[in-house]
Amino acid sequence: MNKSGLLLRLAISIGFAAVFVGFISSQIFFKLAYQHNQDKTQANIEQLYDVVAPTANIAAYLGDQELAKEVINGLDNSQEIIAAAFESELFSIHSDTYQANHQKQTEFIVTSPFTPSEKLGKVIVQHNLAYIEQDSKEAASFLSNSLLIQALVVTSIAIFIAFYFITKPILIIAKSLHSLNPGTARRLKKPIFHDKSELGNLVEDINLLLEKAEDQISQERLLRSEIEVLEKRFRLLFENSVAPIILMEPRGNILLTNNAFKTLLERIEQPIKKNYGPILSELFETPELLSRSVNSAFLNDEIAIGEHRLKFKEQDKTIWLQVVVSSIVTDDLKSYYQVTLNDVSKKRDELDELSRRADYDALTNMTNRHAAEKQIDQLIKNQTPFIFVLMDLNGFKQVNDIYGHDAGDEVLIFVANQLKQLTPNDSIACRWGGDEFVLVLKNYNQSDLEALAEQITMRICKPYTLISHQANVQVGLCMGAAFYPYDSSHKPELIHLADKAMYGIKAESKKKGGKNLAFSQSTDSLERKYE
Amino acid sequence: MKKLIFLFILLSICSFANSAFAKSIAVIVHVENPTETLTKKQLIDLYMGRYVAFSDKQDAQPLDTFTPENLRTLFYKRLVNMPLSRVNAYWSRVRFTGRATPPEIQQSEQAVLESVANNPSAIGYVFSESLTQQNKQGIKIIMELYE
Repeated sequence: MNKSGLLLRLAISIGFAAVFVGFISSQIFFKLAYQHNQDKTQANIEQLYDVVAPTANIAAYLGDQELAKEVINGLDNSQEIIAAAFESELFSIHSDTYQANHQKQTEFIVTSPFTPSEKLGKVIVQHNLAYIEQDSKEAASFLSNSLLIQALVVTSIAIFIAFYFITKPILIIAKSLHSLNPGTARRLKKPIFHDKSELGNLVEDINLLLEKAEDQISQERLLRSEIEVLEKRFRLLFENSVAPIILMEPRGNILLTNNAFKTLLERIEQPIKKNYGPILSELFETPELLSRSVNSAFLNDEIAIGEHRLKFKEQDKTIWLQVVVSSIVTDDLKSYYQVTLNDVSKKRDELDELSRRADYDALTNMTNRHAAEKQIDQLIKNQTPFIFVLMDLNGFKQVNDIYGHDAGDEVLIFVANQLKQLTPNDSIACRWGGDEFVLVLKNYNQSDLEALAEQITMRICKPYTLISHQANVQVGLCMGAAFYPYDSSHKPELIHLADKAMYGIKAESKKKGGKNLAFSQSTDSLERKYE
Repeated sequence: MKKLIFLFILLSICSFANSAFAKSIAVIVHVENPTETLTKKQLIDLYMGRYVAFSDKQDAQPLDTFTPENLRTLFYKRLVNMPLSRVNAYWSRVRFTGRATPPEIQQSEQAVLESVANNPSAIGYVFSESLTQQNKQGIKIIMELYE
């Protein structure tokens, strides 16, 4: 049996209560019985004395000791009397057990049988207290014994009732409750005879609770499966994202990354780490720029978007990333950064290419006219002296007409390469358009130019074998030069002057050994000439 | 209650009608007996066997009589206020131990008178009216018991 089980507790409680009540009541009963017995004894003794009183009176009257002894013996014979004494004027008789100081005794006055007012002595009757006590004890013990038996019977009946009507049903309920899983359709059965009892109510309440639990659990299951599906999709989205996505703490501890980020790290041959500094700053070439732009965006409650270059290259290829950083604050006020990286290297390359294309001639890979003019504007702005040399090919049209455009192109590339090789580094060699080229020579004087022109002429005006046609062709050259700021400080005029100078000798240059370089006649000098 | 009172009054009247009740009883001793008078208590003690002597240590012999019929009854009635049956019961109890003996019973008043006249220690009783000058010789009245 369970040590703290209901039955044992009940049994112990009832048993203790019964014993306690039995003890107390037997004590009280003993007291009452003792008192009652004392009173009864008193009455009995008085009654007894009434019987012997005439004899006692006579004995005292006549001084008859025999009669007096008879009285004492008669009294002594009673169980309730332990001793008696007869004291009169003439004699004094005591029974053997008489004690001078007895706790409880009754005195009877002995009078003359003929004149009741005449006192002749007294009879002392000593009560048998031991007998009274014994008698009372017997009565009390009988009571306590019967109470004990009653307690036993009541306890057993109580235990029986408790077992069959309380403990057993509770055990059955507990057992079935134990084997019951919340969320299922199973319910508890009411114990027999307990349809309307407290236990029945308990079972009803439990069943209600189970119903609620089932509802709740099924709802939660539904929700969980929905969440699972959603999570799966999110994971799919996250894992298969081409763009690296990183979730990190503001200090830089990385909490979550996807495969794309690992791929990126592999590309730049960097180890996978837990922390690359705030906003991955260790990976970027200009971390302070990155952090500044992110901070300023966050200050304005915006998502930080910027393009930044990685510090590490992929096989000498610079990687540009669009960095999107958004700050996430959770419900429990924790701050996280979500960093999304987009590889924009290709776009960057394209842009570079585009801007290069804007400045270069696609065929010859030389600076184009637009770019050259920009540079000339810059030089004029800085007031750097230079010589503007415009040159035009002779005989190019014929090559084009005879061998086709690809042959013409080949010639143009050849010319361009020669010019590129011969011009100094700080000068500009440019395809001006068609078969026209331009040289812009900084810090050059006339004789320097003449020497350069001679070299150029030598290189270009020699037979050239067309790779595409296996045929020799030859082109000529005609150059016109204008000095800045000597000839003019305005670009259009400078160009015009050079053009004019070149066309001045165009016809002559086509002749063999003819002059192919002409200097512009400045307005001043022209005027001087005309003077 | 009223009925009881009525009955009691009726009975009293009847008693007065009976002349015997009114008769006084004379207690007599020998003329030479030195005792001149007795208290009622002394008389009881003599007749109930407590004392067997007069106050002057002279032996006392109490006498009873059978006749006249109601004299003895009346005497004990007046002496100890007891019916004769109880007096007899008393004696039967006392006689058992031998401590005391009941008075000697004479046949008649006359016998009592004679015994007292002849015996100086004797003491007896007769109706006062039964005493004459003749039979008074040799005795003296030491007490009279009235109703």
